[in-house]
Amino acid sequence: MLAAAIISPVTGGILLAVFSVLWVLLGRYWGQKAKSLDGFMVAGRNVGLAFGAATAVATWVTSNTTLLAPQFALQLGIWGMLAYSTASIGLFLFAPMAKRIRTLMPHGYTSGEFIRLRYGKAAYVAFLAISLFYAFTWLVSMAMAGGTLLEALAGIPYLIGMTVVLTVCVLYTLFGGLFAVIGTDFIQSCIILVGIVIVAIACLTQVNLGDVYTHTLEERPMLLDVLFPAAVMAVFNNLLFGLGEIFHSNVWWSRAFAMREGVGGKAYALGGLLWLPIPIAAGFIALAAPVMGINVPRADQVGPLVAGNLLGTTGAILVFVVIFSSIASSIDSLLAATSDLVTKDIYAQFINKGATNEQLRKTTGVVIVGLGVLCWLVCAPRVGTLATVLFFAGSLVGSTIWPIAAGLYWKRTNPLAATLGLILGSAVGLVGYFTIAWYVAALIGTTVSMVVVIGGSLIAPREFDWKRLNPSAASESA
Amino acid sequence: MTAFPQSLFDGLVYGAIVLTAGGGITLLALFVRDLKGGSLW
Repeated sequence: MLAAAIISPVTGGILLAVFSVLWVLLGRYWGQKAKSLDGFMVAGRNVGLAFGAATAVATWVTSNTTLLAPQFALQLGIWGMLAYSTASIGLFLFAPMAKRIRTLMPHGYTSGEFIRLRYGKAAYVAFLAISLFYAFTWLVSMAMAGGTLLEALAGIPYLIGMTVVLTVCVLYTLFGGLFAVIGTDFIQSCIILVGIVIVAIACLTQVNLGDVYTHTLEERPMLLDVLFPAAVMAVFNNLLFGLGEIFHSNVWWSRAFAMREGVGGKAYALGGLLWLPIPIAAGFIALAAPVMGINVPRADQVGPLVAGNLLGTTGAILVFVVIFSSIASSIDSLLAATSDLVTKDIYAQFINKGATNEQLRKTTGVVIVGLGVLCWLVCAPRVGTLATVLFFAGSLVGSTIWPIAAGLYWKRTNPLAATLGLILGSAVGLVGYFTIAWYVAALIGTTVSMVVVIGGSLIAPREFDWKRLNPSAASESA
Repeated sequence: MTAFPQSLFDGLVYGAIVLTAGGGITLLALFVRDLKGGSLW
Protein backbone atom coordinates (compact mmCIF):
# COMPACT_ATOMS: atom_id res chain seq x y z
CA MET A 1 0.00 0.00 0.00
CA LEU A 2 1.17 3.54 -0.73
CA ALA A 3 2.40 5.85 2.00
CA ALA A 4 -0.27 8.45 1.18
CA ALA A 5 -3.41 8.08 -0.91
CA ILE A 6 -4.30 10.92 -3.28
CA ILE A 7 -8.02 11.04 -2.57
CA SER A 8 -9.80 10.09 0.63
CA PRO A 9 -11.36 6.67 1.05
CA VAL A 10 -14.74 8.43 1.29
CA THR A 11 -14.34 10.15 -2.09
CA GLY A 12 -13.08 6.91 -3.60
CA GLY A 13 -16.00 5.03 -2.11
CA ILE A 14 -18.53 7.54 -3.49
CA LEU A 15 -16.98 7.39 -6.98
CA LEU A 16 -16.95 3.65 -6.86
CA ALA A 17 -20.58 3.53 -5.75
CA VAL A 18 -21.75 5.99 -8.44
CA PHE A 19 -20.06 4.17 -11.31
CA SER A 20 -20.96 0.76 -9.95
CA VAL A 21 -24.65 1.69 -9.85
CA LEU A 22 -24.41 3.25 -13.33
CA TRP A 23 -22.85 0.15 -14.91
CA VAL A 24 -25.26 -2.24 -13.22
CA LEU A 25 -28.33 -0.15 -14.19
CA LEU A 26 -27.11 0.04 -17.78
CA GLY A 27 -26.52 -3.69 -17.70
CA ARG A 28 -30.12 -4.25 -16.61
CA TYR A 29 -31.41 -1.82 -19.24
CA TRP A 30 -29.53 -3.42 -22.11
CA GLY A 31 -30.26 -6.82 -20.67
CA GLN A 32 -33.81 -6.43 -21.96
CA LYS A 33 -32.39 -6.99 -25.43
CA ALA A 34 -30.40 -10.00 -24.33
CA LYS A 35 -33.13 -12.55 -23.64
CA SER A 36 -32.21 -14.98 -26.43
CA LEU A 37 -28.93 -16.89 -26.69
CA ASP A 38 -27.87 -14.85 -29.74
CA GLY A 39 -28.77 -11.65 -27.92
CA PHE A 40 -26.81 -12.56 -24.81
CA MET A 41 -23.74 -14.09 -26.47
CA VAL A 42 -23.33 -12.07 -29.68
CA ALA A 43 -25.54 -9.01 -29.13
CA GLY A 44 -27.99 -9.99 -31.87
CA ARG A 45 -25.22 -10.01 -34.56
CA ASN A 46 -26.14 -6.49 -35.64
CA VAL A 47 -23.64 -4.16 -33.91
CA GLY A 48 -22.84 -0.99 -35.89
CA LEU A 49 -19.56 0.85 -36.52
CA ALA A 50 -19.63 3.30 -33.57
CA PHE A 51 -20.19 0.60 -30.97
CA GLY A 52 -17.98 -1.84 -32.88
CA ALA A 53 -14.95 0.46 -32.94
CA ALA A 54 -15.52 1.64 -29.38
CA THR A 55 -15.69 -1.87 -27.99
CA ALA A 56 -12.41 -2.74 -29.71
CA VAL A 57 -10.74 0.32 -28.20
CA ALA A 58 -12.21 -0.02 -24.72
CA THR A 59 -11.49 -3.72 -24.45
CA TRP A 60 -7.90 -3.29 -25.59
CA VAL A 61 -7.36 -0.34 -23.25
CA THR A 62 -6.76 -2.37 -20.17
CA SER A 63 -4.37 -1.94 -17.29
CA ASN A 64 -1.83 -2.41 -20.13
CA THR A 65 -2.32 1.15 -21.15
CA THR A 66 -3.46 2.92 -18.05
CA LEU A 67 -1.16 1.23 -15.55
CA LEU A 68 1.35 -0.85 -17.48
CA ALA A 69 2.23 1.61 -20.28
CA PRO A 70 3.54 4.16 -17.76
CA GLN A 71 5.36 1.31 -16.05
CA PHE A 72 6.92 0.35 -19.38
CA ALA A 73 7.92 3.96 -20.07
CA LEU A 74 9.54 4.18 -16.64
CA GLN A 75 11.46 0.94 -17.06
CA LEU A 76 12.08 0.77 -20.82
CA GLY A 77 11.86 4.41 -21.94
CA ILE A 78 10.80 5.39 -25.45
CA TRP A 79 10.95 1.81 -26.64
CA GLY A 80 8.66 0.87 -23.77
CA MET A 81 5.97 3.26 -25.00
CA LEU A 82 6.41 2.14 -28.59
CA ALA A 83 6.31 -1.48 -27.47
CA TYR A 84 2.84 -0.96 -26.13
CA SER A 85 1.69 0.88 -29.21
CA THR A 86 2.60 -2.12 -31.35
CA ALA A 87 -0.23 -3.98 -29.66
CA SER A 88 -2.56 -2.00 -31.95
CA ILE A 89 -1.14 -3.91 -34.93
CA GLY A 90 -3.12 -6.89 -33.70
CA LEU A 91 -6.33 -4.90 -34.18
CA PHE A 92 -5.29 -3.79 -37.66
CA LEU A 93 -4.45 -7.32 -38.74
CA PHE A 94 -7.58 -8.74 -37.18
CA ALA A 95 -9.73 -6.37 -39.27
CA PRO A 96 -9.68 -8.49 -42.46
CA MET A 97 -9.87 -11.63 -40.34
CA ALA A 98 -13.03 -10.38 -38.64
CA LYS A 99 -14.62 -9.95 -42.03
CA ARG A 100 -13.58 -13.45 -43.08
CA ILE A 101 -14.72 -14.99 -39.78
CA ARG A 102 -18.16 -13.41 -40.20
CA THR A 103 -18.37 -14.71 -43.79
CA LEU A 104 -17.14 -18.24 -43.08
CA MET A 105 -19.08 -18.67 -39.83
CA PRO A 106 -22.23 -16.51 -40.00
CA HIS A 107 -23.82 -18.48 -37.14
CA GLY A 108 -20.64 -18.96 -35.08
CA TYR A 109 -20.17 -18.13 -31.41
CA THR A 110 -16.60 -18.86 -30.34
CA SER A 111 -13.01 -19.16 -31.50
CA GLY A 112 -12.97 -22.66 -30.01
CA GLU A 113 -15.73 -23.66 -32.39
CA PHE A 114 -13.51 -22.61 -35.30
CA ILE A 115 -10.59 -24.71 -34.08
CA ARG A 116 -12.83 -27.75 -33.56
CA LEU A 117 -14.39 -27.55 -37.01
CA ARG A 118 -11.11 -26.68 -38.73
CA TYR A 119 -8.62 -28.98 -37.01
CA GLY A 120 -10.51 -31.58 -34.97
CA LYS A 121 -10.57 -32.61 -31.34
CA ALA A 122 -6.85 -32.76 -30.42
CA ALA A 123 -6.21 -29.18 -31.53
CA TYR A 124 -9.52 -28.18 -29.92
CA VAL A 125 -8.48 -29.47 -26.51
CA ALA A 126 -5.03 -27.86 -26.73
CA PHE A 127 -6.57 -24.59 -27.89
CA LEU A 128 -9.19 -24.56 -25.16
CA ALA A 129 -6.51 -25.14 -22.53
CA ILE A 130 -4.46 -22.23 -23.86
CA SER A 131 -7.39 -19.93 -24.44
CA LEU A 132 -9.02 -20.52 -21.06
CA PHE A 133 -5.73 -20.22 -19.23
CA TYR A 134 -4.93 -16.96 -20.99
CA ALA A 135 -8.39 -15.47 -20.56
CA PHE A 136 -8.31 -16.31 -16.89
CA THR A 137 -4.80 -14.88 -16.47
CA TRP A 138 -5.94 -11.67 -18.13
CA LEU A 139 -9.04 -11.58 -15.96
CA VAL A 140 -6.92 -12.01 -12.83
CA SER A 141 -4.51 -9.26 -13.89
CA MET A 142 -7.44 -6.88 -14.49
CA ALA A 143 -9.06 -7.61 -11.17
CA MET A 144 -5.70 -7.16 -9.45
CA ALA A 145 -5.34 -3.85 -11.28
CA GLY A 146 -8.71 -2.77 -9.92
CA GLY A 147 -7.62 -3.46 -6.36
CA THR A 148 -4.27 -1.77 -6.93
CA LEU A 149 -5.96 1.35 -8.32
CA LEU A 150 -8.29 1.79 -5.39
CA GLU A 151 -5.47 1.29 -2.97
CA ALA A 152 -3.13 3.70 -4.75
CA LEU A 153 -5.63 6.48 -5.22
CA ALA A 154 -8.02 6.26 -2.32
CA GLY A 155 -6.34 4.12 0.31
CA ILE A 156 -9.12 1.56 0.01
CA PRO A 157 -7.66 -1.82 1.00
CA TYR A 158 -6.71 -3.93 -2.02
CA LEU A 159 -9.00 -6.79 -1.10
CA ILE A 160 -12.09 -4.59 -0.77
CA GLY A 161 -11.40 -2.66 -3.98
CA MET A 162 -10.73 -5.78 -6.01
CA THR A 163 -13.88 -7.41 -4.66
CA VAL A 164 -16.10 -4.45 -5.54
CA VAL A 165 -14.73 -4.04 -9.08
CA LEU A 166 -15.10 -7.72 -9.81
CA THR A 167 -18.60 -7.94 -8.33
CA VAL A 168 -19.89 -4.96 -10.32
CA CYS A 169 -18.56 -6.38 -13.59
CA VAL A 170 -20.01 -9.81 -12.87
CA LEU A 171 -23.41 -8.24 -12.15
CA TYR A 172 -23.81 -6.14 -15.27
CA THR A 173 -22.39 -8.82 -17.54
CA LEU A 174 -24.79 -11.28 -15.96
CA PHE A 175 -27.74 -8.95 -16.55
CA GLY A 176 -26.97 -7.77 -20.06
CA GLY A 177 -24.55 -10.16 -21.76
CA LEU A 178 -22.67 -8.80 -24.77
CA PHE A 179 -25.24 -6.02 -25.23
CA ALA A 180 -24.29 -4.61 -21.82
CA VAL A 181 -20.60 -5.22 -22.44
CA ILE A 182 -20.56 -3.39 -25.78
CA GLY A 183 -22.87 -0.60 -24.61
CA THR A 184 -20.80 0.17 -21.52
CA ASP A 185 -17.65 -0.17 -23.63
CA PHE A 186 -18.75 2.82 -25.69
CA ILE A 187 -19.19 5.02 -22.64
CA GLN A 188 -16.00 3.70 -21.10
CA SER A 189 -13.97 4.31 -24.26
CA CYS A 190 -15.15 7.94 -24.40
CA ILE A 191 -14.23 8.41 -20.72
CA ILE A 192 -10.82 6.82 -21.31
CA LEU A 193 -9.97 8.94 -24.36
CA VAL A 194 -11.11 12.22 -22.77
CA GLY A 195 -9.40 11.44 -19.47
CA ILE A 196 -6.08 10.54 -21.04
CA VAL A 197 -6.07 13.71 -23.13
CA ILE A 198 -6.83 15.90 -20.11
CA VAL A 199 -4.10 14.33 -17.97
CA ALA A 200 -1.58 14.50 -20.81
CA ILE A 201 -2.33 18.16 -21.53
CA ALA A 202 -2.17 18.98 -17.82
CA CYS A 203 1.21 17.32 -17.69
CA LEU A 204 2.46 19.41 -20.61
CA THR A 205 1.26 22.62 -18.98
CA GLN A 206 3.17 21.91 -15.78
CA VAL A 207 6.27 20.09 -17.00
CA ASN A 208 8.46 21.11 -19.89
CA LEU A 209 8.90 18.24 -22.33
CA GLY A 210 12.44 19.43 -23.01
CA ASP A 211 13.23 19.16 -19.29
CA VAL A 212 11.83 15.65 -19.22
CA TYR A 213 14.05 14.67 -22.14
CA THR A 214 17.17 16.33 -20.68
CA HIS A 215 16.60 14.90 -17.21
CA THR A 216 16.10 11.42 -18.60
CA LEU A 217 19.22 11.75 -20.77
CA GLU A 218 21.29 12.80 -17.76
CA GLU A 219 19.91 10.48 -15.11
CA ARG A 220 18.70 7.42 -17.01
CA PRO A 221 20.16 7.62 -20.54
CA MET A 222 19.35 4.00 -21.22
CA LEU A 223 15.66 4.95 -21.48
CA LEU A 224 16.45 7.02 -24.57
CA ASP A 225 18.88 4.53 -26.08
CA VAL A 226 17.99 3.54 -29.63
CA LEU A 227 19.64 0.19 -29.00
CA PHE A 228 18.32 -0.62 -25.51
CA PRO A 229 18.44 -4.43 -25.94
CA ALA A 230 15.78 -5.46 -23.42
CA ALA A 231 13.45 -2.76 -24.70
CA VAL A 232 13.91 -3.72 -28.35
CA MET A 233 13.08 -7.31 -27.43
CA ALA A 234 10.02 -6.03 -25.58
CA VAL A 235 8.80 -4.35 -28.79
CA PHE A 236 8.83 -7.61 -30.73
CA ASN A 237 7.50 -9.59 -27.80
CA ASN A 238 4.66 -7.17 -27.25
CA LEU A 239 3.79 -7.07 -30.93
CA LEU A 240 3.54 -10.84 -31.07
CA PHE A 241 1.79 -11.00 -27.73
CA GLY A 242 -0.85 -8.61 -29.03
CA LEU A 243 -1.24 -10.53 -32.28
CA GLY A 244 -1.59 -13.84 -30.48
CA GLU A 245 -4.00 -12.48 -27.94
CA ILE A 246 -6.30 -10.89 -30.50
CA PHE A 247 -6.07 -13.68 -33.08
CA HIS A 248 -7.06 -16.45 -30.69
CA SER A 249 -9.14 -14.90 -27.93
CA ASN A 250 -12.87 -15.27 -27.93
CA VAL A 251 -13.07 -11.70 -26.66
CA TRP A 252 -12.30 -10.60 -30.22
CA TRP A 253 -14.00 -13.43 -32.06
CA SER A 254 -17.29 -12.88 -30.22
CA ARG A 255 -17.22 -9.27 -31.41
CA ALA A 256 -16.51 -10.38 -34.97
CA PHE A 257 -19.64 -12.56 -34.75
CA ALA A 258 -21.59 -9.73 -33.10
CA MET A 259 -20.92 -7.03 -35.67
CA ARG A 260 -23.28 -6.49 -38.56
CA GLU A 261 -22.10 -7.83 -41.92
CA GLY A 262 -19.62 -5.41 -43.47
CA VAL A 263 -18.87 -3.67 -40.15
CA GLY A 264 -16.25 -5.94 -38.53
CA GLY A 265 -13.31 -5.06 -40.79
CA LYS A 266 -13.90 -1.31 -40.52
CA ALA A 267 -14.53 -1.40 -36.78
CA TYR A 268 -11.32 -3.26 -35.98
CA ALA A 269 -9.22 -1.07 -38.31
CA LEU A 270 -10.66 2.07 -36.75
CA GLY A 271 -10.25 0.60 -33.28
CA GLY A 272 -6.56 0.01 -34.04
CA LEU A 273 -6.12 3.57 -35.22
CA LEU A 274 -7.79 4.97 -32.12
CA TRP A 275 -5.80 2.71 -29.82
CA LEU A 276 -2.37 3.29 -31.42
CA PRO A 277 -1.49 6.59 -29.67
CA ILE A 278 -2.99 5.79 -26.25
CA PRO A 279 0.03 3.99 -24.71
CA ILE A 280 2.27 6.93 -25.62
CA ALA A 281 -0.20 9.57 -24.42
CA ALA A 282 -0.69 7.65 -21.17
CA GLY A 283 2.90 6.47 -20.82
CA PHE A 284 5.00 9.56 -21.26
CA ILE A 285 3.84 11.08 -17.99
CA ALA A 286 5.83 8.38 -16.21
CA LEU A 287 9.02 9.90 -17.56
CA ALA A 288 7.92 13.18 -16.00
CA ALA A 289 7.81 11.59 -12.53
CA PRO A 290 11.52 12.00 -11.72
CA VAL A 291 11.49 15.60 -13.01
CA MET A 292 8.71 16.43 -10.56
CA GLY A 293 10.54 14.61 -7.77
CA ILE A 294 7.77 12.05 -7.33
CA ASN A 295 8.77 8.95 -5.46
CA VAL A 296 7.37 5.82 -7.09
CA PRO A 297 7.19 2.92 -4.64
CA ARG A 298 5.69 0.44 -7.10
CA ALA A 299 6.37 0.67 -10.83
CA ASP A 300 2.80 -0.26 -11.78
CA GLN A 301 1.42 2.68 -9.77
CA VAL A 302 3.44 5.37 -11.50
CA GLY A 303 0.59 6.56 -13.77
CA PRO A 304 -1.96 7.29 -11.03
CA LEU A 305 0.71 8.83 -8.81
CA VAL A 306 1.95 11.27 -11.44
CA ALA A 307 -1.55 12.28 -12.53
CA GLY A 308 -2.60 12.78 -8.93
CA ASN A 309 0.41 14.95 -8.21
CA LEU A 310 -0.17 16.97 -11.37
CA LEU A 311 -3.86 17.68 -11.00
CA GLY A 312 -4.43 17.19 -7.31
CA THR A 313 -7.78 15.78 -6.27
CA THR A 314 -9.35 16.50 -9.67
CA GLY A 315 -6.58 14.57 -11.40
CA ALA A 316 -6.85 11.72 -8.97
CA ILE A 317 -10.61 11.52 -9.51
CA LEU A 318 -10.13 11.66 -13.27
CA VAL A 319 -7.51 8.94 -13.26
CA PHE A 320 -9.64 6.90 -10.92
CA VAL A 321 -12.56 7.03 -13.35
CA VAL A 322 -10.38 6.39 -16.41
CA ILE A 323 -8.67 3.38 -14.91
CA PHE A 324 -11.85 2.02 -13.42
CA SER A 325 -13.46 2.31 -16.86
CA SER A 326 -10.54 0.67 -18.62
CA ILE A 327 -10.44 -2.20 -16.18
CA ALA A 328 -14.21 -2.70 -16.12
CA SER A 329 -14.37 -2.72 -19.93
CA SER A 330 -11.83 -5.53 -20.03
CA ILE A 331 -13.21 -7.57 -17.14
CA ASP A 332 -16.74 -7.53 -18.57
CA SER A 333 -15.44 -8.58 -22.00
CA LEU A 334 -13.45 -11.41 -20.51
CA LEU A 335 -16.35 -12.60 -18.40
CA ALA A 336 -18.70 -12.59 -21.38
CA ALA A 337 -16.29 -14.15 -23.90
CA THR A 338 -14.92 -16.75 -21.51
CA SER A 339 -18.36 -17.79 -20.32
CA ASP A 340 -19.33 -18.27 -23.99
CA LEU A 341 -16.26 -20.43 -24.48
CA VAL A 342 -16.98 -22.55 -21.41
CA THR A 343 -20.68 -22.87 -22.27
CA LYS A 344 -20.40 -23.59 -25.99
CA ASP A 345 -17.10 -25.44 -26.05
CA ILE A 346 -17.06 -27.36 -22.79
CA TYR A 347 -20.65 -27.65 -21.54
CA ALA A 348 -22.29 -28.13 -24.96
CA GLN A 349 -19.51 -30.33 -26.35
CA PHE A 350 -18.53 -32.52 -23.42
CA ILE A 351 -21.24 -32.31 -20.74
CA ASN A 352 -24.64 -31.81 -22.40
CA LYS A 353 -24.43 -32.31 -26.16
CA GLY A 354 -28.14 -31.88 -26.74
CA ALA A 355 -28.49 -28.72 -24.66
CA THR A 356 -31.27 -26.38 -25.74
CA ASN A 357 -30.65 -22.67 -26.26
CA GLU A 358 -32.49 -21.98 -23.02
CA GLN A 359 -30.19 -24.33 -21.11
CA LEU A 360 -27.16 -22.74 -22.73
CA ARG A 361 -28.40 -19.28 -21.81
CA LYS A 362 -28.82 -20.29 -18.17
CA THR A 363 -25.46 -22.04 -18.10
CA THR A 364 -23.75 -18.90 -19.36
CA GLY A 365 -25.04 -17.01 -16.32
CA VAL A 366 -23.82 -19.68 -13.94
CA VAL A 367 -20.41 -19.67 -15.62
CA ILE A 368 -20.11 -15.87 -15.34
CA VAL A 369 -20.69 -16.07 -11.58
CA GLY A 370 -18.34 -19.05 -11.27
CA LEU A 371 -15.58 -17.24 -13.14
CA GLY A 372 -15.99 -14.23 -10.87
CA VAL A 373 -15.68 -16.35 -7.73
CA LEU A 374 -12.66 -18.25 -9.05
CA CYS A 375 -10.97 -15.02 -10.11
CA TRP A 376 -11.52 -13.54 -6.65
CA LEU A 377 -9.91 -16.58 -5.02
CA VAL A 378 -6.80 -16.23 -7.19
CA CYS A 379 -6.57 -12.45 -6.82
CA ALA A 380 -6.95 -12.36 -3.07
CA PRO A 381 -3.33 -13.34 -2.21
CA ARG A 382 -1.98 -10.65 -4.63
CA VAL A 383 0.99 -12.49 -6.13
CA GLY A 384 3.41 -10.79 -8.60
CA THR A 385 3.25 -7.50 -10.48
CA LEU A 386 0.82 -6.93 -13.32
CA ALA A 387 3.44 -7.56 -15.97
CA THR A 388 4.69 -10.84 -14.60
CA VAL A 389 1.18 -12.18 -14.19
CA LEU A 390 0.09 -11.17 -17.68
CA PHE A 391 3.21 -12.04 -19.63
CA PHE A 392 3.43 -15.50 -18.15
CA ALA A 393 0.91 -16.38 -20.84
CA GLY A 394 2.91 -14.78 -23.68
CA SER A 395 4.27 -18.04 -25.03
CA LEU A 396 0.84 -19.62 -25.05
CA VAL A 397 -0.88 -16.91 -27.05
CA GLY A 398 2.13 -16.56 -29.37
CA SER A 399 1.74 -20.21 -30.30
CA THR A 400 -1.84 -19.61 -31.51
CA ILE A 401 -1.02 -16.99 -34.15
CA TRP A 402 -0.09 -19.38 -36.94
CA PRO A 403 -2.71 -22.07 -36.34
CA ILE A 404 -5.40 -19.35 -36.45
CA ALA A 405 -4.06 -17.34 -39.40
CA ALA A 406 -3.18 -20.40 -41.49
CA GLY A 407 -6.47 -22.05 -40.56
CA LEU A 408 -8.46 -19.07 -41.79
CA TYR A 409 -6.60 -18.46 -45.03
CA TRP A 410 -4.62 -21.55 -46.04
CA LYS A 411 -6.78 -24.41 -47.29
CA ARG A 412 -3.99 -26.94 -46.98
CA THR A 413 -3.00 -26.37 -43.37
CA ASN A 414 -2.34 -29.72 -41.72
CA PRO A 415 -4.44 -30.25 -38.54
CA LEU A 416 -1.71 -32.26 -36.83
CA ALA A 417 0.86 -29.56 -37.60
CA ALA A 418 -1.52 -26.96 -36.15
CA THR A 419 -1.99 -29.05 -33.00
CA LEU A 420 1.75 -29.57 -32.57
CA GLY A 421 2.33 -25.89 -33.27
CA LEU A 422 0.07 -25.00 -30.36
CA ILE A 423 1.68 -27.49 -27.97
CA LEU A 424 5.35 -27.12 -28.91
CA GLY A 425 5.17 -23.34 -29.28
CA SER A 426 3.67 -23.03 -25.81
CA ALA A 427 6.13 -25.45 -24.22
CA VAL A 428 9.30 -24.00 -25.71
CA GLY A 429 8.06 -20.45 -25.10
CA LEU A 430 7.52 -21.26 -21.44
CA VAL A 431 11.05 -22.64 -21.22
CA GLY A 432 12.23 -19.29 -22.62
CA TYR A 433 10.12 -17.43 -20.07
CA PHE A 434 11.68 -19.26 -17.15
CA THR A 435 15.26 -19.55 -18.42
CA ILE A 436 15.74 -16.23 -20.28
CA ALA A 437 13.15 -13.52 -19.51
CA TRP A 438 9.44 -12.74 -19.78
CA TYR A 439 9.99 -10.57 -22.84
CA VAL A 440 11.12 -13.46 -25.06
CA ALA A 441 8.26 -15.85 -24.27
CA ALA A 442 5.86 -14.75 -27.02
CA LEU A 443 8.71 -14.40 -29.52
CA ILE A 444 9.87 -17.97 -28.98
CA GLY A 445 6.33 -19.40 -28.81
CA THR A 446 5.37 -17.75 -32.11
CA THR A 447 8.54 -18.77 -33.92
CA VAL A 448 8.39 -22.42 -32.91
CA SER A 449 4.69 -22.60 -33.77
CA MET A 450 5.28 -20.94 -37.15
CA VAL A 451 8.01 -23.43 -38.12
CA VAL A 452 5.86 -26.40 -37.08
CA VAL A 453 2.61 -25.22 -38.73
CA ILE A 454 4.14 -24.07 -42.01
CA GLY A 455 6.74 -26.85 -42.21
CA GLY A 456 4.24 -29.58 -41.32
CA SER A 457 1.65 -28.29 -43.79
CA LEU A 458 4.16 -28.04 -46.63
CA ILE A 459 5.39 -31.58 -45.99
CA ALA A 460 1.90 -33.08 -45.55
CA PRO A 461 -0.80 -30.71 -46.88
CA ARG A 462 -4.47 -31.49 -46.09
CA GLU A 463 -7.32 -30.07 -48.18
CA PHE A 464 -10.17 -28.41 -46.29
CA ASP A 465 -13.66 -27.48 -47.44
CA TRP A 466 -14.49 -24.02 -46.05
CA LYS A 467 -18.18 -24.91 -45.97
CA ARG A 468 -17.49 -27.18 -43.00
CA LEU A 469 -17.09 -24.05 -40.88
CA ASN A 470 -20.81 -23.35 -41.36
CA PRO A 471 -22.41 -26.67 -40.38
CA SER A 472 -26.03 -25.47 -40.64
CA ALA A 473 -25.59 -24.38 -44.28
CA ALA A 474 -23.59 -27.51 -45.08
CA SER A 475 -26.37 -29.77 -43.72
CA GLU A 476 -29.02 -27.80 -45.64
CA SER A 477 -27.16 -28.16 -48.95
CA ALA A 478 -26.58 -31.86 -48.24
CA MET B 1 25.10 5.24 -26.90
CA THR B 2 22.81 6.61 -29.62
CA ALA B 3 19.89 8.43 -28.07
CA PHE B 4 16.53 9.06 -29.68
CA PRO B 5 16.54 12.75 -30.75
CA GLN B 6 14.44 15.11 -28.71
CA SER B 7 12.42 16.06 -31.78
CA LEU B 8 11.28 12.44 -32.09
CA PHE B 9 10.34 12.30 -28.42
CA ASP B 10 8.40 15.57 -28.71
CA GLY B 11 6.72 14.44 -31.92
CA LEU B 12 5.65 11.15 -30.41
CA VAL B 13 4.11 12.78 -27.37
CA TYR B 14 2.34 15.63 -29.15
CA GLY B 15 1.23 13.38 -32.01
CA ALA B 16 -0.17 10.82 -29.58
CA ILE B 17 -2.21 13.43 -27.71
CA VAL B 18 -3.67 14.90 -30.91
CA LEU B 19 -4.54 11.44 -32.26
CA THR B 20 -6.15 10.39 -28.97
CA ALA B 21 -8.29 13.53 -28.93
CA GLY B 22 -9.19 12.95 -32.60
CA GLY B 23 -10.19 9.40 -31.75
CA GLY B 24 -12.66 10.56 -29.13
CA ILE B 25 -14.24 13.03 -31.54
CA THR B 26 -14.47 10.37 -34.25
CA LEU B 27 -16.26 7.96 -31.93
CA LEU B 28 -18.80 10.57 -30.92
CA ALA B 29 -19.41 11.55 -34.56
CA LEU B 30 -19.96 7.91 -35.51
CA PHE B 31 -22.32 7.46 -32.58
CA VAL B 32 -24.45 10.40 -33.72
CA ARG B 33 -24.45 9.06 -37.29
CA ASP B 34 -25.46 5.54 -36.21
CA LEU B 35 -28.05 6.88 -33.79
CA LYS B 36 -29.68 9.04 -36.46
CA GLY B 37 -29.59 6.17 -38.94
CA GLY B 38 -31.06 3.74 -36.41
CA SER B 39 -28.06 1.47 -36.87
CA LEU B 40 -26.36 1.44 -33.45
CA TRP B 41 -27.21 -2.26 -33.19
